[in-house]
Amino acid sequence: MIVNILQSVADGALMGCVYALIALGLSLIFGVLNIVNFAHGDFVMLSMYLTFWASTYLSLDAVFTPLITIPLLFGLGVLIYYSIIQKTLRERFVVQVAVTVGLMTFLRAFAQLVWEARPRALKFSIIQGNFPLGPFTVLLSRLISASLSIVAVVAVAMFLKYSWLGRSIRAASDDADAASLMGVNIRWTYAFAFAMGSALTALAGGLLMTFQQVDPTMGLRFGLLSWCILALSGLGSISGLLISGVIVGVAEALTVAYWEPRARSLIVYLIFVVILWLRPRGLFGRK
Amino acid sequence: MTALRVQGLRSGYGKVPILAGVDLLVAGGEVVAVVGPNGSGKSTLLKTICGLIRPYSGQILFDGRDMAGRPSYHIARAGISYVPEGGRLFPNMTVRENLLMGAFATPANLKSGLLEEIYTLFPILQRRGRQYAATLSGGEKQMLAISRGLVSSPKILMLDEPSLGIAPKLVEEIYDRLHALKAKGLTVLLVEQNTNFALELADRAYVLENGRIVLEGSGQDVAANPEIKRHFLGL
Ligand SMILES: Nc1ncnc2c1ncn2[C@@H]1O[C@H](COP(=O)(O)OP(=O)(O)OP(=O)(O)O)[C@@H](O)[C@H]1O
Ligand SMILES: [Mg+2]
Repeated sequence: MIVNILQSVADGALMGCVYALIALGLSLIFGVLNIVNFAHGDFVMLSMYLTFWASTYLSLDAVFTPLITIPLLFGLGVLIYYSIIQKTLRERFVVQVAVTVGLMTFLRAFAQLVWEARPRALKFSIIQGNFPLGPFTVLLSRLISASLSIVAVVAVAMFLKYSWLGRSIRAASDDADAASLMGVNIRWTYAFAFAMGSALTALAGGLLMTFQQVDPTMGLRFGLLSWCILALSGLGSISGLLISGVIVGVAEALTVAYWEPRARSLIVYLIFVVILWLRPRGLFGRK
Repeated sequence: MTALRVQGLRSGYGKVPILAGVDLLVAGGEVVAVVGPNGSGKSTLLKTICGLIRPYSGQILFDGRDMAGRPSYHIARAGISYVPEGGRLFPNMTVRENLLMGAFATPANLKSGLLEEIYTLFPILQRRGRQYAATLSGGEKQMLAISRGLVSSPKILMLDEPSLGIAPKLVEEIYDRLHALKAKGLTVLLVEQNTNFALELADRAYVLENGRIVLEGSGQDVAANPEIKRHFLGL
């Protein structure tokens, strides 16, 4: 019994690290552009399909597909920013919501059109397989995915903290007008942050595909997951984001194992609502 | 040599006009003050020059180029540094990071020891280096805002009410440093309600009222003008 519970906790925690990576992308977009992006989860879904496509038609292993999908999603992010997001920045909140919900619907319809409603999974990845660790079973794909996610999250944190460009992104997030007075091109910086947030879903999507399948409606779940993690952690704390990812991952895994797999989004939503109610700035957030 | 020449500048917020045709001149190495009552458009003038507000019409000639209507990052990179009213620091960044942002467009300045020069001007900033800007006192915030505006070694520094909401003793300290910067040849366009300090520092001054320049002269002349005394100094 205890072993089973711990196994679920460990599985959920590994999964949570990948979730944190997804939420980091959302946090960049929300924190810098101050826009509520409902389509973020559908970027993950799209990335998973692109991973499937790249590994099937280019015979690339899922571990290497991010080399293709990251630039693709970055480019898509730039395109979407300049074509639709930029125009909505000065608009009222409802307009922003309408635009990103529209984008979400569009991406889902696009996936249904191209890949049909059938779920797709990879036949093979070099990081599939598992090994025993005492009484536990470690899924290699999850372990490697979690590790790469942590590395990516820390790398992004270092980039934001110490690099010249990262600093200007944080400055733009704090006060866009003041940043422009320092010579920062705000439109360009916003485009970069949006594209970078989108590109992070490419890595996450690739990693997720090594151990699960994708279907066109999945975006909603990832969107909810990342909003929940962001609400839990608050803006501006990278370790808080990782911890929150793990909390949500574990909650989800325990629900699946001991209650009902279909209830997992319900639990995530409950956490989301309760945290917004009790601590609207999150557990680790600034201000 | 003229550093900045503003001609017939009209601007405002949306359809609400504030500046009704302002002419103003700042020569290289000169300190020019703009004084005037609350709401006369002093901040609007500086915000229009630095590009945060687009002018309706008029010219902003800087180094012979017309800056009117250009984006603010462009104007900043051309060498016009604006220290906004209230500082507008980056609250979630440290004091040092705020200073580094000041040199965003001129990273070479960081290697040439400019930061050390600024630390000798305001030593407190070095001691507070790792502290978040949001946690500074009002006076420290203003010192940081001025320093951040200086790290790019601008051709002209525009200050918006550097004495606003600061204890008198610190106002004295800040103006003391501004005198030192003036002695080094820095070109300054200064906006103030604290006319005493501003007019003492300024070579020349303009009086702005209802979006128009109503008087111009040397700092002492404006300070001695009976109209102005009645208007602003309450004498
Ligand atoms: N963002 C804004 N939108 C609309 N009107 C504004 C805005 N900012 C200022 N104003 C108006 O423009 C006029 C001039 O304001 P401005 O800030 O330039 O005055 P000021 O001379 O700097 O005053 P103060 O000495 O109080 O700083 C005021 O009537 C003010 O109400
Ligand atoms: Mg003002």
